[in-house]
Amino acid sequence: METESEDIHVNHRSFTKAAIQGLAPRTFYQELAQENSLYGFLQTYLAQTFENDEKFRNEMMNVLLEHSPGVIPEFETELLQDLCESLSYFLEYTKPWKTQNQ
Amino acid sequence: MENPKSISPEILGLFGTIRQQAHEYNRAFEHFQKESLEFARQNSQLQSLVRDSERRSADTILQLNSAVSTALLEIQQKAESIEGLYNELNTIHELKSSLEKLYLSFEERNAELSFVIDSIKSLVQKQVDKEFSKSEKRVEIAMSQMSNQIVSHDQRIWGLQDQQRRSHSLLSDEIDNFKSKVTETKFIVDETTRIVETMIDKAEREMDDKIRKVKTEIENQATQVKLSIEANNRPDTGSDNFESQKQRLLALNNQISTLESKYSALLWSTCIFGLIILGILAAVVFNVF
Repeated sequence: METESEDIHVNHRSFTKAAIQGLAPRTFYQELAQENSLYGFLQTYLAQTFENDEKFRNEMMNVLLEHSPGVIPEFETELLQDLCESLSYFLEYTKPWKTQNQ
Repeated sequence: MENPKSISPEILGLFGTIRQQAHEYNRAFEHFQKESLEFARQNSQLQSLVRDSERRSADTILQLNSAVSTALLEIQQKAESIEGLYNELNTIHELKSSLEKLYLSFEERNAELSFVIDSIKSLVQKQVDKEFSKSEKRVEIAMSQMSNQIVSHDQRIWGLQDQQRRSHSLLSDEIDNFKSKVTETKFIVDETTRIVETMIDKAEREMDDKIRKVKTEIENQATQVKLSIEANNRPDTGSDNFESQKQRLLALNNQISTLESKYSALLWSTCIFGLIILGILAAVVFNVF
């Protein structure tokens, strides 16, 4: 029940944001992403912020996902690294149970 | 969100599988969490059950200890009683063996005695048979004698009965004759008693008349004597007259006494006469009967 209500809330928020974005003017980052040069820009000028500021990073990731016209291998690598970190944390978290099962 | 173009489909598939696995893990974790909560609840129940069972087991152990101690005491008592019973059983076995020995000796004695008894019995039977044959002969002889005696007695009884019958007939004839005589004798006795009574009555009447006459004469003489005595008591009468009157009174008294003695003698004579007549009548009657 709790997860279902959270999902509904997230969807509602994304719809609201999409509606606002549809009405709002396009940002500089979105235009860079449409030109397939946002990741290069971030790596060149905002690499420190992109690495350390999690909010900014997430926002940029969303822009890349939504507005990039083609595949960005570096972005995929970033995503796979995040996935690897999450999975390694998960594995580390569930390690005692595995050892107990063994 | 639509499929993003910045990520290759392989990566998207990987993310999808990872998302799916994450959902699966999420469900599994939820399931595990529920199961762990259930386990915790069951664990607490089990803990309480364990505590309860421990408490019960402690109580049960105490009860069992007391029960076991009492049971041990009872078992010891029963073992002692059983030991006593075994001792009694041993004595019974000893008695049984002695009784068996006695029984064997008794059987031997019994066989000897039975042999002796059989021999005695055969001897006694022979003697009894002999005595029975002798006594039967004696009894037969006695029976024949008794029958002869009975026959003779029967003949005598028949003779006596015949004689008695004849004497009865004679006696009945005599009784009939006597009955006819009794009426005649009774008539004679009645007539005699009537005559005697009339005679006695006549004699009594005559005696009464004579006594009455004598009495009146004596009374007259007594009155005359009284009158003469009164006359003599007067002053002009003499003592000679008094003496003569006194002598006359004495003579009268003597006459009265003689008359009374005669009267009593007459009464005695009439009584004796009556008794004699009654005796004669009784003799006649007894002779008749």
